[in-house]
Amino acid sequence: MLDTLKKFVYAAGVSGDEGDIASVIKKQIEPYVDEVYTDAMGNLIAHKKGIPGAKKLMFASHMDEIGFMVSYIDDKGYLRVSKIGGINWTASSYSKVEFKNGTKGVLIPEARTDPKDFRPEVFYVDIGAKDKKEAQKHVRIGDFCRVSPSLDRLCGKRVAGRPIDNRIGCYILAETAAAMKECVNDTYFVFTVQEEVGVRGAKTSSFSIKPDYAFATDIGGSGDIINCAPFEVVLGKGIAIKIKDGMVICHHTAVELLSDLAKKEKIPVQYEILESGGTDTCMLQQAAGGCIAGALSIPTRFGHSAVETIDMGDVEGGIRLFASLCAYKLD
Amino acid sequence: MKSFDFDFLRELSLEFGPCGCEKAVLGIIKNRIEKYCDETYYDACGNLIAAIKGKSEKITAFYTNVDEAGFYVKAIDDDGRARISLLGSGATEYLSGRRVSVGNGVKTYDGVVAARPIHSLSKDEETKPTSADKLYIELCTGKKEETEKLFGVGAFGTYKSEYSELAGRYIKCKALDARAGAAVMCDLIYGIDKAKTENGYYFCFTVMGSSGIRDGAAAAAAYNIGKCDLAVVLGTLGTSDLYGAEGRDAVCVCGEGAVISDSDGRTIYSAEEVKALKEKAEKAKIPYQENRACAGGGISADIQRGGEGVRTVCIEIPVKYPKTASVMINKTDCESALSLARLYITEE
Repeated sequence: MLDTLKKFVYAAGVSGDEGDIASVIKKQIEPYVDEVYTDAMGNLIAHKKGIPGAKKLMFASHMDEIGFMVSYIDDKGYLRVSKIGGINWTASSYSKVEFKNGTKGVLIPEARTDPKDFRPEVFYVDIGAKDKKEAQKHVRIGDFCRVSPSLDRLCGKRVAGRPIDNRIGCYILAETAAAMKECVNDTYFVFTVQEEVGVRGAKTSSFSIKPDYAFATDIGGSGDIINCAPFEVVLGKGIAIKIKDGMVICHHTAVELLSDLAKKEKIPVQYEILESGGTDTCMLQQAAGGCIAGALSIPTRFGHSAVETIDMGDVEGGIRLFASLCAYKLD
Repeated sequence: MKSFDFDFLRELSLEFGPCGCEKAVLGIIKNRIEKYCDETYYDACGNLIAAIKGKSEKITAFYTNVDEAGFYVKAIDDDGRARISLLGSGATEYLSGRRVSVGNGVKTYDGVVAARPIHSLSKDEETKPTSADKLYIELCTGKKEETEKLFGVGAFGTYKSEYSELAGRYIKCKALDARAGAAVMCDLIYGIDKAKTENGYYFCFTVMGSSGIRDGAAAAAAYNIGKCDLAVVLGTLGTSDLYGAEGRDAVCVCGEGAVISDSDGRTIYSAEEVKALKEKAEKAKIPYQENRACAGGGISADIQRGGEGVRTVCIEIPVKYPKTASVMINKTDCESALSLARLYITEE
């Protein structure tokens, strides 16, 4: 089961440079849909035609991950980087990073920097180059890098690694396409770009598709970690149906639809009310003329670190729930 | 090919065109380019859009934003002084003690932004910029009714300043940061023979870019022209290459060529298109530099994600002291920007 997820996790795809992960997902989903194409922003769109007159159903999961972009190379051969997405500098410091061309490096804060003063400007990447000239042989300004990927099994059905945000969402969509027995609605599986830098890909893809119903899936939080703020959703108690986050209030029809299907299929669910942060859902809701939008959140511990942790039981429920939505005729 | 027309940049920069009142500037541009284009029109937002139609399906759209830093009149006191509010991301310390023009773009009047003499300031006032509430325009009318004969509440204003040539190929004027891209674009239009061109082109001179509103007028222009293969944004980027800033912190350096950004504060540009542009620039030996801090962020975001989205690249001219009455630009960088932009109209 983890083989596909591993492929998704190991493929590179920092926001703005999603080519590698897009081609891995394309190969995976192609057998189950009628057409797969990429739009101007780089969103990967897999389309399975519905019955005549069917409503348009769009699923969205972002395939980009947080990372870094080289912005300056100094005379000593150290690289200054610009952050791509919400970087937790404490979690990223002293990490191995890697580039798509195989170059490896380490992300280090300037010596004698108090962790309280961690900010993008004090970090640099050491790729082991002896000077600027040697560094320029391996990297160019504008190249992307990321904290090295990993995926490990923990106890039971739990796994930890990065970037689980949001390759696990991509995995859910790919598995939904494979598990889907009937496709009554005109269905689009969209793997969006640049979510981590401000839900950018979801904006253009939903504008061109103009869905009637749209559902995102992305990682959420988990209220069972030590000293966290009170939060209902926990690992292992089922996929979470989003009610609201910092950027969207889901349409009640979307919430009820998912709840009813879960009840019918006996899939355990939880309900997510997130105080801050957002996902592609907010853009889907406002797409072109607007649509009925909802989302499934995968309960996740330690998001945006190299040890994002989830329970695969929750993920399986999410796949079953989305597959049952595919078979349900929307009107 | 004609070289960069600095006289035209001078004319554009001296013209009155704060955010929301760009019609005079756009009028000059329209006059200049009309005969070289198949179509020129204003959209509902006030953007000026020009088209050169091609025979093939390939369309490249160029964008530049034309509005400059400024203010508007929010009240007129009984003694005739005009109270103001800043437009967009201007700063009060740039305005204090400056000559300004106030009006509506058809007719403007001279005034000064009052600044109290230094010896009558309190310690606090000496060290802190005057807040916008306390700024006012002195027109010496003496009476509210007299000022109201000139303009009313809602009138626009901006700096009044001269264009001058400085040492080291530098030029100085107000609004250079807002008009350098437009000058590049007008020169670009000259270079296209509309009878012979295979490809189609759009040229969008957008308004209200410094309002800071997301999905602003530029997004409307992108939506209005519809599907394109590529968007090329022409603009300026503030340098921090001033006393003390070095390396990455300088952002970019005047005189080293136009900036090709890989990303900025709001946009990650198309990696493939950026790579292709850098390679072409190197081949053609056009000087260029990179955005060392991934700083800035103008209308590109609205264009890249307007409607169905478009692959986007950006060519920016480094500027010193943007949004002030004394913006400085190095001529070398204007020429570099024009040469880079021309790579997109050279058909193979």
